[in-house]
Amino acid sequence: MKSFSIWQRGMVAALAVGVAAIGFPAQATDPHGLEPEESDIVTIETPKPDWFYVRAGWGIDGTAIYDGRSGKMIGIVNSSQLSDMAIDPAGRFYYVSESIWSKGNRGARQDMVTVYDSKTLKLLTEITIPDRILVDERKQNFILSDDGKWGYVYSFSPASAVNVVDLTKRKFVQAIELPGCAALIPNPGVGFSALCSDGTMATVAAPTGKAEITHSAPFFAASDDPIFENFAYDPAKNMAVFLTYTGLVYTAKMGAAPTISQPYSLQEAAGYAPATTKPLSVGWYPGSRQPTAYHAASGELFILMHMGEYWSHKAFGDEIWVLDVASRKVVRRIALKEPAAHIEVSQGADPLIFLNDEKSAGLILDAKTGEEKHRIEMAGAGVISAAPGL
Amino acid sequence: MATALLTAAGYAGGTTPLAHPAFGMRDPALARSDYIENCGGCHGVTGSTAPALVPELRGRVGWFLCTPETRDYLLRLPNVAHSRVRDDAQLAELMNYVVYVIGQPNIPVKAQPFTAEDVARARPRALSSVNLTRERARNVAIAMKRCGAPASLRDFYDGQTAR
Ligand code: HEC
Repeated sequence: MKSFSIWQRGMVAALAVGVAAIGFPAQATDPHGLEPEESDIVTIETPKPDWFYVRAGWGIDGTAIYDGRSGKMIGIVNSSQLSDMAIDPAGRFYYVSESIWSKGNRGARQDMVTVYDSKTLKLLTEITIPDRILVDERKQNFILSDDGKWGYVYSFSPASAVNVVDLTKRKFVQAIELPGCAALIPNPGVGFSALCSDGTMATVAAPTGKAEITHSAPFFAASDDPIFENFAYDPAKNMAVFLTYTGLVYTAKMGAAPTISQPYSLQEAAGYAPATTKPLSVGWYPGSRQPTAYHAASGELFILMHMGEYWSHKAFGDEIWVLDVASRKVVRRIALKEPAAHIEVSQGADPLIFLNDEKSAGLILDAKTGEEKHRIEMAGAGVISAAPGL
Repeated sequence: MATALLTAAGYAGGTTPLAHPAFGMRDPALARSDYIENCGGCHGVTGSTAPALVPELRGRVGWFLCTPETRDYLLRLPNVAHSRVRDDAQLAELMNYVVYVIGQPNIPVKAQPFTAEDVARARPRALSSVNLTRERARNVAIAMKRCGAPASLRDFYDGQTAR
């Protein structure tokens, strides 16, 4: 019940507007101490570096926008249950790739990229696509090219494929089959890349045209020590940062033939022995639904950690470890009072951390000191995104 | 053959499977549980998924057994070649469970079971840079021409086109 609060708030706002509209004359003093509200239409700003986007959670529509500095909610982007959101790098639009049915839980299936104006949050248009994958809240299922001109929507209908969408002409271009691969990685100037079940990285060059697929040499063991699909991408360095279930950190310099580093152990970076896949070997492991967040300007990776053994990767985080990716050192550890399910970090100069749990409790921390800035009840229980570094 | 098939049918039905070297399964119970664990989430525990957009394996997948190329197609599917079952012999047994048990009664009479060597040869040639839909269509055409598979194999399940 509680987790419906985003809607409840929406209802309250709508009711308030309704009452004002019925036209009680604006009285200076209301006998009940109520202040009449004026009905009007507001616009909001384009995405700001301190803004976070928090999905309401499984089964609940809507992505709430929060100003991390004030802790206040700014608006809601209309995102349906089976959807993923991407933000235009220039801040003009919110794109939602979604699958809906004409009669709610039945009827004709419709897959699309829905385009919203970022200032009015109004629907601009819908771009029909053949199909997408029927899961939600996975950031790597819907990515944009760095110039914001192309959208790549992961599809699994029936086989793994990627729908390429022209966001300028607002048209579907083509579907590229990518058997055995998933989790899309930006690859500016080339196209995009993806991680594959044989432990390679696939790169799709010229995805809007000939779409040529190449594979790196295998570098990770998809079945023994998988990579979390919640990986990071650093636009300035054109580098992707990956973390495996045991805490191995890989970086990949993106390009036509991405070069992937030798991995190092996150636990070793914190002064412990590296974690293993061996059963009953207890130690610190990364985990949760959205375990990593990356602050590009400082090159710091924020990781939700818990005590456990291998294959406990869904456990929520009791600590945040801050890894300086380049120097291979865990530079800070932030203990959490309540275990967190999702973590995100804002991209501005004074970064903020946004955490939430499955009960929708939101928490904003100073990313440098760990100091608590805001607690937000009913913030949303789903995946969190940060505004792009603008 | 008919009795042998009936015995194999028992595996799908849930009775205790018996070893059946003729179908390349020394440990059919393991083959079945490997199938359920690694494939059943998408293909259903009995290989039946219609009307979902996943190819129905039940009563259909055996058609691919009859030529070297179509046999290879099954082993080169990314979900098979890259399976978490790393042991080649164990994966061959899993695939024999798929074709001989889930695939029946439509199994070419002279088909040979998959071996660990077949799996080892196919794994490095996984179908990971091709259009799988087209590759399937090509193999269905071969199975129709060379092995008498019905035209309905072009669909993902019988009656799909009619819907
Ligand atoms: C994530 C879901 C998924 C898993 C897991 C999976 N498959 Fe599949 N499988 C598919 C889909 C989807 C196709 C159809 C691909 C296409 O050709 O378009 C397919 C195709 C096949 C086919 C080809 C059938 C035909 O009629 O062409 C076989 C055989 C098969 N899978 C066997 C397996 C086996 C054996 C496993 C386990 C080792 C497995 N699959 C695991 C989704 C899955």
